[in-house]
Amino acid sequence: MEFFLQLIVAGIVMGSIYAIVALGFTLIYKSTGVVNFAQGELLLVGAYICLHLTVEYRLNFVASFIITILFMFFFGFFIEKIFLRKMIGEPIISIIMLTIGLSSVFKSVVQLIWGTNTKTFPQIFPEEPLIVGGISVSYVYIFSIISVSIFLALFTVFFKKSKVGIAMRAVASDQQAALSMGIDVKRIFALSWAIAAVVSSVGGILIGNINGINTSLSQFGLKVFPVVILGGLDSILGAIVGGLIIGILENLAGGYIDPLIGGGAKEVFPFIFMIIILMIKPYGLFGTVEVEKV
Amino acid sequence: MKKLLVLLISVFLVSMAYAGKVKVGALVDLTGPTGDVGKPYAEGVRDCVRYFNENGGINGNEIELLMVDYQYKIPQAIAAYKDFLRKKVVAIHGWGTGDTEALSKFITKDKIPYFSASYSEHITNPINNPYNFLVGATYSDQARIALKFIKDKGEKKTVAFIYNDTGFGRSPFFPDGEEYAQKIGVQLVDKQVVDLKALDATSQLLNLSKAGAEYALVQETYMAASTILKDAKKLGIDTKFIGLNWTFGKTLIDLAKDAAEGYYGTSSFAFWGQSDVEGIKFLHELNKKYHPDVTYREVNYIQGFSSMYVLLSALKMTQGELTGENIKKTLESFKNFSTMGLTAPVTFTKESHKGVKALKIYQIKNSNMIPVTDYITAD
Repeated sequence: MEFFLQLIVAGIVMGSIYAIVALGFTLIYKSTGVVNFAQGELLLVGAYICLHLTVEYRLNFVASFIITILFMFFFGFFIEKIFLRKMIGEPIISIIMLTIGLSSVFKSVVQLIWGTNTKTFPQIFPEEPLIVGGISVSYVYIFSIISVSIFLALFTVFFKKSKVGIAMRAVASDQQAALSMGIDVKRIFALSWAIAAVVSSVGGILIGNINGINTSLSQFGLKVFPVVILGGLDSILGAIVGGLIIGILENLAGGYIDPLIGGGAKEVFPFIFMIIILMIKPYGLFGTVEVEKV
Repeated sequence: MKKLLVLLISVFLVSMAYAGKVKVGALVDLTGPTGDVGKPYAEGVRDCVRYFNENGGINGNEIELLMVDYQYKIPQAIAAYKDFLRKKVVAIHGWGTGDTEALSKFITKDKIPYFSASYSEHITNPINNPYNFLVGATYSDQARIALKFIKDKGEKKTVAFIYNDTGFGRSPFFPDGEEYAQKIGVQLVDKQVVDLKALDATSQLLNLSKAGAEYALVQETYMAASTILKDAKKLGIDTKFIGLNWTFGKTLIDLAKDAAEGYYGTSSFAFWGQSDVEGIKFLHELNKKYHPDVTYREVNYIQGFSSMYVLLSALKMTQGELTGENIKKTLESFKNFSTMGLTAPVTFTKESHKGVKALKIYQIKNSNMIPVTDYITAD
């Protein structure tokens, strides 16, 4: 039983990080219809900025974290304003190509500024794990779950209660109707990018604290793709539930299937599960079903 | 007429400038997925060429290093190789397992002496790969020596293999490590796959612990090795870990911090802190001169320097024209060639292109890498 619980706990922790990065994808897709292939690089930029503030300027980690979030908010905002705004009305493939181009540019700039060596955060969290009922959890993981939970709660309130949040939902639901109601759609687009950049940077900082940072961190942006697809590309709830499902399944497959087949199930099983779900629910668990009337 | 004259003079001057240059190609990964270890390695290669050039080059001829960052991509490696050939290099220093394997047929056909940073054993067999050479113990030898260490030191004499599911990851263990463990009576109790980018290895380590592995051999790079050590500490697992060379260095200590204490590693190369080693003393001086700001070098720098040192020394020692056959002949005559203690002495023969068969096992104690054995071999 302890073995099972340890796997579940590790799965929830990893799942929560998947969820927050997946949230960035979903927010942009939901509001603007764009699949952002530069998501991993937003994660990279955020992680490096937080590390730079902590190591070079010797700022307190919390201060670096908050400054990074503020920076990333404006960074995301300006990406939309400078690059994406001009693409409104252009074919979707052109916009996807633009995000791929942006990913290369961001990665190159990061390499130019910080190089390619693996860098590490100074010791921020206690190294000894917290042991509850025989289950060990590292403090960095506890911080991950808490920060992810806070962000998810903030987004839920934001989308349900705030005027801007409701406007974003309106734009996601029907752009034409939102425009006719006087909603500034361009502002909403920029805001989606800003929030996506913020959540990605949180994911990047968490991963950086777990395992150090180098430019390969950006691959994590694509690793959460099965999470986004499983949850439903345009569902915030789907991103969260999808993240947790993939995190838990990975660990259960690793714990129970790996010993039977000699390893590898942990990496492959989430994809197999995703394919099975898509065969039953082609729009993912919570994705909006497109109804076309002929 | 005037234009033609200018053109002819230009061609003459350019050809004069290039005359007497010995061209050597180098495939490096500065910005790709192995850039964290590839960049310091490339710096070692570059510094070695600079040192040789400042000390007479290759018998009075300047070495021109043609370095290409191929980003660990095989098509780019092949394109760079063809360009090297077009520019008439006399030898090449390469990098990864995949690209070295992909190039092997060309290397044999074109008779280009080729040094690799992939320690995969099968590319050191001169029957299949007559022009491939290696400075550093092969992955298989590293696994064999670590198993021998377990046989001598272990109480339960049980081992598990942890690897990433790639050619690089499987190379030391299947079949070489498995066969050797059986041969010397070390019981292989578990095999676990941990991805190179894994952030969590909880399930693998719980299974390994259930299997009762006293030791585990780790074939990964720094990041995955750090995940394994931190998770093992978190779970209170008492298995002792022995990492093969790409897992062991200062970056690992920075990443894993206290969890790295007690971790063993195999290395054919001396570390920067071993100032009693002649070659390390030499590199300290060289870096003071070339890079006054540099105070520390990763072991990967030392790997790059040592390997290039052997290649350039062979070029210097080659009698007659620098053809592939002549250079190969010189290399195959190397017997206990000294790298100033940066590695065990290097020997190549017609039967084996494994330059180094010996390594030391190190252990991390108080965040320092301390040798716990002298140079040992699997034989």
